Parts: sequence; C-alpha cells; structure tokens
Amino acid sequence: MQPDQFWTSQDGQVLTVQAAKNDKPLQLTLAFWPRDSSEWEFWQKHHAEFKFTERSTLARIGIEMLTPNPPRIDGNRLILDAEAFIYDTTVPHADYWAKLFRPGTPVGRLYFAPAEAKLTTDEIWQAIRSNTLKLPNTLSIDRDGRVFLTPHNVRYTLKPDLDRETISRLANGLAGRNLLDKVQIRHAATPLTIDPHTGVLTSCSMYLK
Amino acid sequence: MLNQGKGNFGIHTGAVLLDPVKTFGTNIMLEIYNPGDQPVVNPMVSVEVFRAPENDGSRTIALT
Repeated sequence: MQPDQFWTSQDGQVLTVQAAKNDKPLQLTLAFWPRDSSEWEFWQKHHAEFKFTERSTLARIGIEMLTPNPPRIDGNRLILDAEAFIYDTTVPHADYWAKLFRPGTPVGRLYFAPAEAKLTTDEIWQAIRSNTLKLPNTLSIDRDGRVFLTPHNVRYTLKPDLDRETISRLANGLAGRNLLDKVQIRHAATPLTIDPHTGVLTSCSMYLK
Repeated sequence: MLNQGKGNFGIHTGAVLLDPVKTFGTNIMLEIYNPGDQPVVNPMVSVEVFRAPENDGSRTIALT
C-alpha cells in the first residue's frame, strides 16, 4: 500500500447490533481485519482518513448506513460505528429489516482516496475522448474533476411477494446482484421524483472497465 | 466514487464505490436518498474518478 494510491479493505462484518426502538436507526458496530502485516502498518498511520462504502446489495434492498466518525483501532482490528435505517418503506421486508443484521453479516468496505490518485478534469476528458472511459452522454464535468450525470428516467422496486429467505440470502451475502436483477421490477418515471426523507433505486449507463 | 456532499440533487446512499470491473453496462444501479424536507425532481449525481492501484495478486473479490 502506498499513501498516494487508492485502496479498499476486505469486507467488514457486523460485530454488535443494538436493537432499534421507536423508528430510530439501528446502532451497529462494524469490524475490519487487515489482510496482512503491511496493511496493518498502513492502517495505523492512515485509518483516521478512511471512509466507509456500504455493500451495494444492502443499498439496493432499501437499507442506508451512515458512519459519522472515522474508524478506530481496537486490538488488531478497526472498529466503526454505524447507523442503519430503511429509506424505502415500501420494500417487502419493511417490518423485519433490522433483524437481517446479525454478528458476522458482511456490510461493506473501508476505502482510502488520496487526492494524488484522483483524475483531473483534463485526464477524465482525455480518457472519455479516447474511449478509455465511457460515461453517459448527458455528463458535465466541473473544473474540480467532478463528473455530473443524470440517471435514467426509471425507478426499480422489489417484487412485493419476495420471501424472507430470499431477502436474508441477499442481506448475508449468499446472493447478490444476479438475483437482484431478477427480482426487481422496472417502472418508467418521467420525471423521476424523490419525496422528502425517502430514496429511489434508479440506474445509469457507465463503462469503467 | 459517488459524492455524498451538498450540491447534489439528493445524495447517493452509503454505497459509494463503483467497481471498475463490475461497473460496465447500461444498467448500473444508483441508490439516491433525499435527506431534505422538499422533494427532488430529476436528480443528478456526481462522481470522482480515481486511478486503480496496481494489482499485486494479494487481493480477493469483495461481496457486492
């Protein structure tokens, strides 16, 4: 690991779960272990700069996770406090989503994104022009290298009769995007609107390979 | 990497990393959350692009 390179950890796991009360967020403690000793040395220097990215499958089934503080060292691992809540109350697991989280549930990764590794506006534009990078035609790029794009005019919902066993397989990592692609229903949405304090699942076209 | 900061039309959820290998196609999912008290119409998201580190063979595939 180099401090000027982008880095991601292995998947972290739920360590403890504090039951949600009165529609409050679920309080989770997440744990991350290093791959090897060199990674551990890197963590000791840079862990305060790490950010968390949630597993996309959890987001796709309507669960949001917020991590207000950076991870902290706890013995030979990093610990991160998280708050989980459901952003789409129409999902079939709205009544039992909190019970999907148990010790050992995979939750996502930590990442380190140093400014030195970020592409500039000119580098992104050159990559697009040479077809190294393909992004939607509707994109705008600002001078700070931020690429703005508009999602498709669609929204996705889960099949309303999706059973608990299937939802549990998605939540605990035994099933992922291949299954999700089969149990999502696509709806045209023009315009695409998002009500206050809710979320939508939508899509875009992107070719990063 | 999807931005979660202010200035976006709604913010992307905590799933912010787009895998450079898996993010390839016309059906890349985006999960957008509106934390405000007013609706959002036709949201827009922003991403920043980072160079992927050299693969030294020690990495395993993460769950999605």
